[in-house]
Amino acid sequence: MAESTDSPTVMGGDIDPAITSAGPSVVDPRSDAARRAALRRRAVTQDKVATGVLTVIIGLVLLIVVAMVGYILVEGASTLMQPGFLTERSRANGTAGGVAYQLFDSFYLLLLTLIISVPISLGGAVFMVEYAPDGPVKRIASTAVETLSSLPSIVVGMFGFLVFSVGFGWKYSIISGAVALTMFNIPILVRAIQQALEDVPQSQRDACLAMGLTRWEATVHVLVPSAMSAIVTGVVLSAGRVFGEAAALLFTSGMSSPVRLNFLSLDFSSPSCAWNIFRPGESLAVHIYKIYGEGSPEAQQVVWGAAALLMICVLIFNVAARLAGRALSRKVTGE
Amino acid sequence: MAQTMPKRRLEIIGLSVTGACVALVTLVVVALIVMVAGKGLSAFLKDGVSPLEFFAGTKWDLQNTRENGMPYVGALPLIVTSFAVMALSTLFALPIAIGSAIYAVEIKPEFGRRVFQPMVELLVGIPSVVFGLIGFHVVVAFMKIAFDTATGLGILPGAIVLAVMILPTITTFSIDALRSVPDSYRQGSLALGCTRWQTIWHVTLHAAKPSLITATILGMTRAFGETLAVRMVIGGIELMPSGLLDAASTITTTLTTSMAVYADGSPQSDILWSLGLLLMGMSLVFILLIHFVGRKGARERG
Amino acid sequence: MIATMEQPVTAPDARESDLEEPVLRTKDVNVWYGDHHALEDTSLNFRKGEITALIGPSGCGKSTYLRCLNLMNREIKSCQITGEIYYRGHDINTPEEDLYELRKSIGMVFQQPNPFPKSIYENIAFAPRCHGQRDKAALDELVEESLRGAALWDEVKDKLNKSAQALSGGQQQRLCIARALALKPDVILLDEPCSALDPISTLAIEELMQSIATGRAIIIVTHNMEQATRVSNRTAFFYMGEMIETGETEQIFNAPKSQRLNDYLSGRFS
Repeated sequence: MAESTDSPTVMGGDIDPAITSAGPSVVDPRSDAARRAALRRRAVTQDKVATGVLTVIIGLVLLIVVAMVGYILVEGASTLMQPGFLTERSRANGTAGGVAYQLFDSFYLLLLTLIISVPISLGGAVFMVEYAPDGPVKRIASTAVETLSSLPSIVVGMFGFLVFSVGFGWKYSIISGAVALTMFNIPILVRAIQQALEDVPQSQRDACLAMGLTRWEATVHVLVPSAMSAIVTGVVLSAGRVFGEAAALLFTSGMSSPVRLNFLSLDFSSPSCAWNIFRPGESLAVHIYKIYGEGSPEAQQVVWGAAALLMICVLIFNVAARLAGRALSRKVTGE
Repeated sequence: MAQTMPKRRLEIIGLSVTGACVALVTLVVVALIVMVAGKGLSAFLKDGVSPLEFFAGTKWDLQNTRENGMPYVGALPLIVTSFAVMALSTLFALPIAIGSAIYAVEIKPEFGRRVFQPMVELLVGIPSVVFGLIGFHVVVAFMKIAFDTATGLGILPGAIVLAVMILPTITTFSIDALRSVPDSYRQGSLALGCTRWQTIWHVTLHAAKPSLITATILGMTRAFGETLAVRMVIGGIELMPSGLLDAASTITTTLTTSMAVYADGSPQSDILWSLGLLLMGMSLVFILLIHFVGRKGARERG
Repeated sequence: MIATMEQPVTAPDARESDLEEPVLRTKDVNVWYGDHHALEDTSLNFRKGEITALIGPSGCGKSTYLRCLNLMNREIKSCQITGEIYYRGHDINTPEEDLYELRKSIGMVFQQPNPFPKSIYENIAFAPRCHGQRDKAALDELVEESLRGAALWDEVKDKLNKSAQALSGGQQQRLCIARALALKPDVILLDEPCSALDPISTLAIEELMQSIATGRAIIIVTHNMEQATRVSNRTAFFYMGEMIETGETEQIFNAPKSQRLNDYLSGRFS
């Protein structure tokens, strides 16, 4: 027991004799004390073993994370370094060449998704927190958001295919994919923004209302700015998720980019205009899925390069989310 | 602009704009549920597929049709595989996730917050195709050597890849659950002379049990619905698996490969929507389970 | 204010007609939170230039009553207010009442200082701007005037663009008072404004109350009976959701009429 002086168990050591003397001991107090000491020793050993096992487990988890990230970056590094990988279009149905179009499509999809999903999520979260904090409307809306968040993304993709690609006649298109991604993204965003708004102290709302301001003014001028750092963190983190999502895109934005994209064209209806939202597009993640099984060494190089690129983008989103959140909260509190 | 606008009107505008967002989201979800349900049921109602064959039949073949033009739609192999990979991956991930959550909250909280949690959140962010890719090149290759199978693809590698994918989900929610156990519980237990492990085992874990169960169900939800990562390592053979090393196909992976093949309205497409309906139904079941656990936990706390 | 203090008013209602019409007056106000009857039949008058203290043990309904006066209780869903609340002679406890105009004229300061996470300048200029004041020069002037009114100008005039949350607790509370002053209210409600502050900041706020009471009715909820005797002209004692006794502060503390107030003052319960 002496060796565990730095652990809380020492308290038990102090208390034990007291319990022994005060407790209703029917047996010989001395053997009772011995029994207790033995129990205590066992408990201490158990404590140590458990701590050891937990340390091994956490080491394993850290090892998995580091090994995975490291493996991808190492495997993809040589391809990434290749001149033209990021700037050239792919050849031979994607099994050779660069990933410029896929990279562009990924960001374009992400941008469109955020343009659609951020305002809707913000509005929805504001309604749920500020206008209808309790009541049937909020219950129904929360259930809807929860349902959407638990749906497998393949189901969202199928729905997008049915409604947007077939129903609206958008076929395989960037906009179809962006709307499907929006459905995937909204529950994540609504929750993040809802949480951020709920974390703003009630006293801020009271102060606004007591000055004769509307909830709308309170929200726009005080609550959203106060919650901004958490909102931005949430949005950027969700962007990382959207960026890597593929299952919802297979049937909506399609599995191929046009052979040639014209970035300078402003003819938004032309199938080769990069900015045309009704052209098919292929994100990096979908590209990886499309060609991962190709056996040629060149295709494998493209796959690993694309995976490393995807990984780096997600890492950047992760770090950016933290930095942006921290910078904004510093600005708000004026420290 | 605002100075001329009466406050009451401003409030009504705010209410309607944000209310419209909520209404839109709710409407989309309702539309999704109704359409998936309608499409999914049409196989049974329109094409006359027997639900018994769908749920209990073991032959799944959409390409070769019977004399009456109907494909073989016994989805039991897919259902069994889906549940098998979900159960196995949860079994693998659960002890590791809860163990590391305990370590990160109870043993080294500072390390947990500063180092461990960001690392785990990074794991959440890794796209599923990347998990699939690593699974395909590392886990599958290992399986091939270790068990001497032809391809290495199968249920076991699928479960391993999924376990790593749901690990961060369960871990982060478990960390939240453990953190929300009031410190007074721990201090009470430690003051009684219990060791740290006794405190964790009897007090902290017990108090956090409903939330830990919820965390597990959330992980299972993700495992059940995960698509591409599983698709890349499971082999995609739509037969009843006879062992963990057999190549198989889950509900989601079958959807990935077949959905775009068949024309909308064909019996094949309808039966695929039935699979989609099954996925949606399962995720609703998971939500109900979470609510049930939450309510039960709330009742126990009083 | 001095004038009213010099007149020894013993029976509160006897000289009603002699005095100026109360700016705020309640008649038989009742408050329910769901089924819980939180406040019963409370009738009080508040005049400009007077500081009224609402005292009583925790949960006695004094804060609930205060929050009726600017209808802040309406923001709580389950809360129901009945009775009449006359502000400048008309009943505000009606569904048609323009809450925004009302709260502009009845300022409120809370228990915890709650400045917005904005600059000191913006904290004050923000609400007037939302109420239609867009002129930069006028706003500048208003900010200075309000800060001077709250005895804060000299401390912050060089850092108006710094975040308000970097101020000390006492300064934050005075900023909240300045923020209320900027809307030129004729009633200011203070809900235990000093309970989160140190003694020196408390003293500063108490001095401030005397100076802002000119031309305004000040109503302060306080736990601290010394504070009530120091700052107020009139006092109302609440107990278990009822207003038990009201009168001149001196009379309330020196010659309480009701047994309950007597018990409370002698510390038999708190």
